[in-house]
Amino acid sequence: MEEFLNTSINGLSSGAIYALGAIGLSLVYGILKLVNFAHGDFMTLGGYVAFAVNVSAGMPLVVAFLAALVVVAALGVALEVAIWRPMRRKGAGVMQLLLLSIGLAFVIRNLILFQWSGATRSLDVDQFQAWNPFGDVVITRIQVIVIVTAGVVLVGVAVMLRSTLIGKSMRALSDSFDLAEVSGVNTRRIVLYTWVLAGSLAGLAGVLAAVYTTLTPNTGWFLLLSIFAAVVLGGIGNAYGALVGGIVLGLAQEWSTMVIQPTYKEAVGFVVLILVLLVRPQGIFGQARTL
Amino acid sequence: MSDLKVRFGGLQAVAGATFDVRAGSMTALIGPNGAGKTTAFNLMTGFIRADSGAVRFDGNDIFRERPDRISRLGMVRTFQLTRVLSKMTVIDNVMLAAPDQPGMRLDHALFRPRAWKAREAVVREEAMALLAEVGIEKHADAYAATLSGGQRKLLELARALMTRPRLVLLDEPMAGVNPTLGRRLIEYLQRLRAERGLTILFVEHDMDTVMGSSDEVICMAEGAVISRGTPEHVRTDPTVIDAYLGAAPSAA
Repeated sequence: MEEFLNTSINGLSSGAIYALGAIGLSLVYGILKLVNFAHGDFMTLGGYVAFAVNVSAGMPLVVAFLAALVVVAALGVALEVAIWRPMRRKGAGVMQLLLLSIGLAFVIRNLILFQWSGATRSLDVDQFQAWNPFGDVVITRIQVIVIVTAGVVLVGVAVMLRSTLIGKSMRALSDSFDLAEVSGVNTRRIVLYTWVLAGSLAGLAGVLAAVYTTLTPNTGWFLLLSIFAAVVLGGIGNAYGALVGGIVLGLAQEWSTMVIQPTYKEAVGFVVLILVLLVRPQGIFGQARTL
Repeated sequence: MSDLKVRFGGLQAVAGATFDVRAGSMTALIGPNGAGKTTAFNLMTGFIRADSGAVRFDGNDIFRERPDRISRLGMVRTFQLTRVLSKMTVIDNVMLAAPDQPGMRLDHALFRPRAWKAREAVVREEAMALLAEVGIEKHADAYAATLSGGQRKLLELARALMTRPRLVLLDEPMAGVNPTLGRRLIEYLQRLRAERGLTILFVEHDMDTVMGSSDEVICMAEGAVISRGTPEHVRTDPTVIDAYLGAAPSAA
């Protein structure tokens, strides 16, 4: 029982990070049909911005969080204006956009390598402070930070998507871009808001990943595989699905360590993915095709 | 619009079509398959960027303008293959189309909650009224995906009207709708035309509807306008008959 609770806490922590990354990835795909391979490196950048503020400049962690959010959101917007919008206007298809995003991922990662070197970094948080609520159950300060921050933000995003006009417009664009456009929804503005949201969530996920483990130029890239799995698990292009998919995946990976070697936990994530796809090809929350 | 041209690869889909739609009229756009009717709609509403030509709407130059701006200027369209936002509720489908919503802007959404909440209440009421008008108000909270084909057509119409248009472009509004409902739709549109001065341009293949309810008919073939005038004039125009039935044997 205690082992179950401990692995659940671990799973919620990594699942929350997956979920934060997956929502942005899924929204961008749903709206722009862009499979953004650079999303993982957005996260890495968020981590390094936090490192620069928190460790290099010695400012509090909260400031580091905000800086990462702002910088990555700004990057998202800048890339939209400089690259994605002109590419779409020229009629680029899914394949061209995908290849471009892979190239972009390498560029961002190497710029990070250039600026901060490949050394393993960590943020200035107490790694060892922990509580024992009861028995052998352990929850670390870091896990509290990750779960609480991600929890608050994820609930906020879900409410935003469900009930605000901007959130509804995002879902409308993801449902049918053309139709939203003829209805007079200012698609250009909503697309920019989507990048702001996806970028800030990626930045936040990157900082949390850096807090939770350590930071290298590959942090985001390695997380991206699990995040893709979370997106597919939840139903591609469905933001709520991505949220739940991320958490389910995190839990499944950690629970598996009760039975098998922890080294294989990422593989377990993909076994879950394959099983779900066999039973529900449209993902947990995806709809069967409608006319 | 005048002298519109667009080419897809080697196909000249619209080749210099020129026509105008009189304000307050109910104008039918007819022509055989492939005449470029839907493409003309796409060009007018900014869906496809024309290669050359000019489109003016109510004094505004809207040639190659963005679709959402054109829609906000008061020209709105429906689709031949009905489109709805299937993962959203019927009422949300309609409400999204309402103009002047402060909640669409991040700054207003964050810092002027009272303004957008007040506007949202008004919009909801208008949307319900429109749904009642087209007869699907009891499905307001259902997901649009659950509607039948005919109901989706009605939803599309409600959505289009929610933008408070001055010109609606309807692409085959009668296709797939049962005749009783079809007649009711036409009557409703004619009432809006009388009450609000709405201008209607519609593509239709059902000649009874075209001849019975429009006051002007434009006939296109192979990307150009070949005839226009009163329904009576177009129906008896030999070039129109040619276009539909193939060239009449000419006196050699």
